[in-house]
Amino acid sequence: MSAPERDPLAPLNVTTARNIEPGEQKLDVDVVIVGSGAGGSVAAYELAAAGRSVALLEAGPYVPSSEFTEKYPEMMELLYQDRGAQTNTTGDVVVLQGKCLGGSTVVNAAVAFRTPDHILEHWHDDFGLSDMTPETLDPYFSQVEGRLGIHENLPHEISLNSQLLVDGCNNLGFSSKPVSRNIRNCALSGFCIAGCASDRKQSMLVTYIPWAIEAGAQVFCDTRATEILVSGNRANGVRARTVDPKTGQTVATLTVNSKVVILAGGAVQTPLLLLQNGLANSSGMVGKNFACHPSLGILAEFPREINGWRGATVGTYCDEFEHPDKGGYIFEGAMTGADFMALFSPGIGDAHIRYMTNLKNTAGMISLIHDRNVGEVRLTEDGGKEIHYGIAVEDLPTIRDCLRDGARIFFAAGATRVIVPSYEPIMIESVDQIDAVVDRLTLAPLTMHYTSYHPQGTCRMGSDPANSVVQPTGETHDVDGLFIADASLFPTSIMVNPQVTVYTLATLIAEKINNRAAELFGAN
Amino acid sequence: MDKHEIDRTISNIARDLVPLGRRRFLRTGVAAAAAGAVLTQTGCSPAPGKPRPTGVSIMNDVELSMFERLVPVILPAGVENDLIPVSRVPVLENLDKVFEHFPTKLRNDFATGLKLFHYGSIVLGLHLKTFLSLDDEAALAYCRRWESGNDIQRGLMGAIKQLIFMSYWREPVTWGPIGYEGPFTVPNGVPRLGNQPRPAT
Repeated sequence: MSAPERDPLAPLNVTTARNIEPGEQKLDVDVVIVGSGAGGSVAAYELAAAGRSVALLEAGPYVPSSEFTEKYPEMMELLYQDRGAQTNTTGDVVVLQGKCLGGSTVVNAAVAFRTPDHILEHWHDDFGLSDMTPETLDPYFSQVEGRLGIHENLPHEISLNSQLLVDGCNNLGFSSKPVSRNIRNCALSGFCIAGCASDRKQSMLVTYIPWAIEAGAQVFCDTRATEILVSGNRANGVRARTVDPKTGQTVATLTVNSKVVILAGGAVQTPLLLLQNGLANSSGMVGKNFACHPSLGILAEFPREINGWRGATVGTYCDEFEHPDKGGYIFEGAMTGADFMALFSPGIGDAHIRYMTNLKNTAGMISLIHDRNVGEVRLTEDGGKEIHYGIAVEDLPTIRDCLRDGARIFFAAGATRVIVPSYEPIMIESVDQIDAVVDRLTLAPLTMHYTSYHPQGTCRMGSDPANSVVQPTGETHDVDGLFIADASLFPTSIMVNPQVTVYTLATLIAEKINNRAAELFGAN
Repeated sequence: MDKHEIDRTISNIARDLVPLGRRRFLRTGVAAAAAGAVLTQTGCSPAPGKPRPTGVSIMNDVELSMFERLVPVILPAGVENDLIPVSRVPVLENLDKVFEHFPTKLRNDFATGLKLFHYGSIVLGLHLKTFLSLDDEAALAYCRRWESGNDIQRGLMGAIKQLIFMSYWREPVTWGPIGYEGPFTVPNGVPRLGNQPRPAT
């Protein structure tokens, strides 16, 4: 008898608030994983494919791509944490994270960088991550790159918006390159961060999650982990609630007994869960060392139509200043739809009308900096969260350099004025004005609009239990059988888009777990 | 309002801000928050007997009256330009839906901010009238002072304008005049590829 024909468009076989049996549910598995983003999905597949029974819990909803409307506000509200309004305590850093099956991989711009060599060197030298060199990680990088169709953008995948970044760099003698993306047969819709409606982006939703299900993993959506079960010093399960996303009512409680627990909820939710449970924090480092690549969205008006919302959201980047010795920042040519760009308006009244009317002539870039790990995710007394983060004083020169060089690049590409991403409306009308504007920039609250697409670093990995939460194996220093596999592991910020680093770490950690199958699962 | 009433109102607002905590209040300066049923002072209430727009059920009367005034000031669409007038776009209805999803604590913070904004035009704005009493030109000038004001003012104005812009520009009817095409995949018949096959082991 032949295997049933695979239907790539069939809905995933997942349990949600709509179809879970109400009441108390119990499940026994080898591994329970909390969070279905880049880390959780990869770990789920790698472990299920090795014969482990796996339960994957996702607090967000299952939203198939057929429901991606390509309307930004709707998708922000449906697919993002806190409906797209998660911020630091001050309110001037919007911290974007996916909250849906597939996590942030569903709503990222598909930009795929390997961890920079100098970052791995730092991790190796200062945090004892001796296994993580470019050479040792190469096969893991290669595996995920192959599976996710990661390739350098071809010429047709570079929009006019991204080409302007290249033009400006060329005119200034700066280095620039096409970015690599996890995408197959890109339809150039321009809606990467609203979810890819035609499944070209190789997010977890269309890759590792269906593969994990095919390998036997059970997936629960609308299901938030509330308790990590521990016996003695060993994690042995998770308790969770399945909540109707429309009513907020608990439909079922789920107790998953397991031999291994993996937390992969991301750099905000993972430390919160540990803090709620008072676990793995002998170092006092849980929630600390938060970094987020505070990004400036620099816009510029040109004397011709660009229609920057067309084509790949991110096509190229400037790597001239990537190494910390040269500044420690990069620029990516990036633009989105008008219904999202309206939020970046530099003014009100007729200033807003001018901005929106000129939007088709406006190009955008974002800066990413290698920021210091000065933030902290805290649990509030009422069980809520607070993200404490402000740009470090030491990073102010970098922020200024970002704005200065970003403006120079745009003017070199032919811009007629540059829009500063500030609360107070500030325009730069010519190259001559750049320094005067940039030198006025301070770190006072609510001066600049920052967006973090990459929260990281709240449960850092390291060999020293006194200043790290997680061992180089992915297992916490304090609790046996409790692993972490998400961007909270990063000992430092990595400057570039982090998804490939997370995929790779999760692959590595799953392999280490599989290699200990006899010890952890009583199996071969 | 007489001078004593104004002084009392301002000092009440200042009192409200102290326990609120500066940092928590500033947090309202992003994608929003919205008022609780806090704004009850005279001068910040809607005109008596004025009907509520259809589809607005979450905003209280004061929030509604403030945004009815703020929307055309901050977003003068259709006024000497080709944009679709705000009166033809369900901005208030969309705002109402956003308010529905904000936590009570943040909503109350925002209410305090709106109070400060409304009465601040008397003292901070030097207009000697509450915001709702200002004419269009003075109202816009007052909003601009907040845009470039201290951090609390910038934060609140940032929240107000983002709420309004999001509620207007999310409507497809507004896109044509600026040349934005909107959704791409379905209108162009781009097929979904679905899930990738599992890798060969």
